[in-house]
Amino acid sequence: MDFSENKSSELVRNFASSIKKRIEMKSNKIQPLYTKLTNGLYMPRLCYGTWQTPEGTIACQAVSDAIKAGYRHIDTAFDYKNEKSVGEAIRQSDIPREEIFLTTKLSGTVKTYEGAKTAIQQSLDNLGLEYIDLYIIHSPWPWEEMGKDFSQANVEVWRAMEEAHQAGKLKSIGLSNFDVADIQNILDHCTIKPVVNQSTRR
Amino acid sequence: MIDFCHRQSIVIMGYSTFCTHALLDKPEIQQIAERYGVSLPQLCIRYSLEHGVAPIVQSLNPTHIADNLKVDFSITNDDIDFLDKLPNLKSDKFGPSLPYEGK
Repeated sequence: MDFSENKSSELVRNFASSIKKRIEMKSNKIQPLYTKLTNGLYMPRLCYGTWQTPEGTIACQAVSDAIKAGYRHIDTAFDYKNEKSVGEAIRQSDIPREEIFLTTKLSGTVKTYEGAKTAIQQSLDNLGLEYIDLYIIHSPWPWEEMGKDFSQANVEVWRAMEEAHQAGKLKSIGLSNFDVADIQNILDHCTIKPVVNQSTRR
Repeated sequence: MIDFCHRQSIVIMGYSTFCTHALLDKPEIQQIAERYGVSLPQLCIRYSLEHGVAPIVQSLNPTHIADNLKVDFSITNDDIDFLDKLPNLKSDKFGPSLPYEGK
């Protein structure tokens, strides 16, 4: 008897959770174009990526085409080595800067406070922009040391990003390729919460 | 990780959210795309959006760049459930940043 009651309450719970999921999905459809981040800013949901797009005419043309087609969120990274062209395309476009959302990333090889400060300025200089909309740590470890523990280093790097955020250089800050433990480490030590985790898992 | 991020209100941006090469081998997914009158990449992008993931799409082809924005349709709950139940099509971590291009 107890067993069947437990079973039925479990079914009810599952059903309620599935209904909740559906309602959340429906509400997502109401705002298909933008996602509100926890810092109150709106991020265009569909993002144009530039990984492996070569610096120069190709990257500049591709980003111009994307902006003309209607993308308002462009994703690059210091490691993609095309920040200059991406920035050029954004600066040359007819769309006001504040309507474009630009994401770039701190190289996974930079794991010190001072290194991060320098790298943030380097990306701003490459892009030729006054500010970056979303700046994220590309990976919790340098790729060649994948899986190694850089918890303390990531907290230091995050502190540099928080300061640049407070200085207005980075509107939002986030993470990429972080797993639960890596994210929890930042949450445990941060003043400003990450707004995004960029990931390949579906 | 996705559930954890949702609980923390951390938005997931997805790259390689769906491996097109794996998809191309699946005629039933092609049939779903045909039913909606969309391409496979468009179906994949919409699927990511339906899951609250902000997808990163990539192409150097101006036609595909524009097509990848045309995702203003809804996937039925039944089709989402079907796609959810497919074996994990997680692509190579260093694979192309799909969904993009029709190939």
